[in-house]
Amino acid sequence: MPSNEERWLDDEAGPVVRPYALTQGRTRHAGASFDLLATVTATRGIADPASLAPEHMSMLRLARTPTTVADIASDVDLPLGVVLIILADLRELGLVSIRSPVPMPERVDQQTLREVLNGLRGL
Amino acid sequence: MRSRGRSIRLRIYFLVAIPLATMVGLLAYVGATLADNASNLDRAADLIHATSVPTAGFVNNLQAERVAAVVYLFRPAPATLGAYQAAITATSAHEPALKAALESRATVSSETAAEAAAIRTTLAGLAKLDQLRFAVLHRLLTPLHALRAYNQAIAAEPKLFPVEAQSVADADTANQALALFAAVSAAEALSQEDALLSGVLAGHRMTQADRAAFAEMAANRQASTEDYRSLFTPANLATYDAALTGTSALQQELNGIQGRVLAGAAPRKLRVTLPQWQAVAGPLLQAHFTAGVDAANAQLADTRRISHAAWVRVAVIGSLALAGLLLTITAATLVGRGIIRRLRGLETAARTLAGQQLPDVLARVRRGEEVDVAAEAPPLRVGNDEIGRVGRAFDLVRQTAVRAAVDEARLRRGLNEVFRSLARRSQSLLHRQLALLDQMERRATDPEALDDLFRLDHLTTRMRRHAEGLVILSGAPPGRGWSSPVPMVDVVRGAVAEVEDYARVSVVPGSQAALAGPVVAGVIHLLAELVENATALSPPYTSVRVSGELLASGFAIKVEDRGLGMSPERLAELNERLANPPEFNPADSEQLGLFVAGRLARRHGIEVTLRPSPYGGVSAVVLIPPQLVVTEEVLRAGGPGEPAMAEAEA
Repeated sequence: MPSNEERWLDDEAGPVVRPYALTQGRTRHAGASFDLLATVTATRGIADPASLAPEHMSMLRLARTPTTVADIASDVDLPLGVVLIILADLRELGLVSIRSPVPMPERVDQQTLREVLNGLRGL
Repeated sequence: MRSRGRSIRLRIYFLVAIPLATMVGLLAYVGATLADNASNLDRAADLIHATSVPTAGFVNNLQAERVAAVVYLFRPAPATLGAYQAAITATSAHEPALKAALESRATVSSETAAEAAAIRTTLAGLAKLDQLRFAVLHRLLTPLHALRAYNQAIAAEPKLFPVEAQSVADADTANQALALFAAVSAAEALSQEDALLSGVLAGHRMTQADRAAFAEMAANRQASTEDYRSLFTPANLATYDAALTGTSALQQELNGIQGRVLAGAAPRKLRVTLPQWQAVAGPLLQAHFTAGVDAANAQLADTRRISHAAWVRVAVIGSLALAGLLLTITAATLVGRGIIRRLRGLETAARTLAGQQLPDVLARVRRGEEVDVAAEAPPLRVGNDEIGRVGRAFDLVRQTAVRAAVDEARLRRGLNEVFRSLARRSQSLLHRQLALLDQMERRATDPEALDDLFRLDHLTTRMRRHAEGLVILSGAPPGRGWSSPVPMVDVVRGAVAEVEDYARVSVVPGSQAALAGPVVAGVIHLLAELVENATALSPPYTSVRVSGELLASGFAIKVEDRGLGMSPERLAELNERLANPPEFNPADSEQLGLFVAGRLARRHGIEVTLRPSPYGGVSAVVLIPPQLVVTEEVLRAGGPGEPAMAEAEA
């Protein structure tokens, strides 16, 4: 029955490791939440390649220069949920730091406010 | 082929033994009779030869003594007394020779009971002779009484002959002996006539009683003469008569004198003197004696010839019987051996079929080879008889068996095809479902939704694994395939993901080595079965640890559980199953996973061993041969495939 002898090669075969297996089925990460815009930066921590999964290693490499979560997610080609959990795991291990961007209102510092106040007084 | 512990060879011998024993018995009887007859002929001839010559000589002397006694009694005178005493001396001189002959060892050893009795009587008669002689010398007897007493003494000697003749088994020989006896009796009668007439002529007187006695003697002689003439064979009669030739004139003269005596002529009217009479009677007696001896010798020679022929018969029949016996035994042995050889051939063929041919054919048929029934069960060549028929019946059995095996294998293949087709279809659908899930997981932002998708993904992955298992069981390669090496850690995690309790399994990434693409799907399946087994065998609160290590002899993946372990027997049994997966048995579906693992391991030359783990559970070690392993160095050098990460990220 040749019609049934369907074979799926390489890319067609799909990922060797199903995404849920990369996170042990977890969909929520520990620690403070972060979003796509958060910046991931590798710390000076020493990573042991023998104890880290390949995805962890590749994200760690991408985070050598501060990179946003969104960039990392698009580079590793994994579902975002999975990327977030792996990054959170790396943070737990102290291998990366994740910094969320300051929201617009918060970025206005006291100096600016004081300058604004002084300006208003000057009117 | 054996029943009641008796072999066919023995049975054949048994069958042959009965007629053989009968034949041997009959032949022994016939042979013994013939031999007895022949030895009797020999013995009789020997005995007659040994006894007749001295007896005849003695009788001759005794007859002469009788004549002298009768003459002396008729006419007592010194001359006649002297003649009588001389005759006694002559007789006595012959007596020791007779006794010696009758009592000799040869005679005693060959005589029959009747002959022994006759010889005893003869010897006893000899003892009485002295008494008779005393009576004659003292003239206590009339001539006629003395004559009669002598007659009795003499008659005892030839009586031996009829007894001897009767003991001869050969009828012709016996008859000739009787004829001889009659001839001797005729001569004796003549001798008696001679004695009486000599006395009458010497005494010149003849009583009526004397005449009557003479008549009786003449009658006896006539009767005996007729007897021997009728009993002798023509040859023997011719021999006898030949000795009598030239005596016809004397015979006529004797008949004339005898006629005159019987006619009642007084002694003086007989026209014969004593010397004249003696000239007639003496030569006649001598001629008869010679004739008797000639006839006896001729007869003895004849008897010896007959006995020789009898011995020849014994020898011929004996050797024929022996040859027949040997021939029968040889034939029985050869026939028995032939039958047994052919039966052994049949037995060997049956054993070869059961132990070799049939399993071989079955194995080949199961491997999917085309099998020619006629070529696999060539007919046995064992002849056309009953054994040949058994062989042909056996051929039919073999052909049926091989055909049944082929049919069964065909049915199996058909079922296989059905299973494979069904499995392939579900595999195809599941594959599409997984692709869809991939897309949905990428789009999911809500952890809740992702959680559900992950569960769905896991279930689908497990279903895919089962479908793949069926495909592998049907002998086909699993549906998925990779052309470039896949990192070992991904292979291991891929396998773990297919297991129900995957969250309990911790994977130690370890080595950076990769697995050759073509075997990836198989190894994933194999590992999944082992991990599944490990999670099933250990309590839910324990973890299962999977680690990999690059070795000189390949790549080892260890699956360790923290369960209670297994008994050494069970481990040995499972190891045996993994090393030599038995023919698939649908009834044994509990061990299906391990069976599939064993089959995959064998297909890719992978070694799987279960052993007790130091933690108490079971540790399964999968040793992948080096030719399937791509090391980190080779990968870095851009060896047979893309860099390790490429696969995982794809």
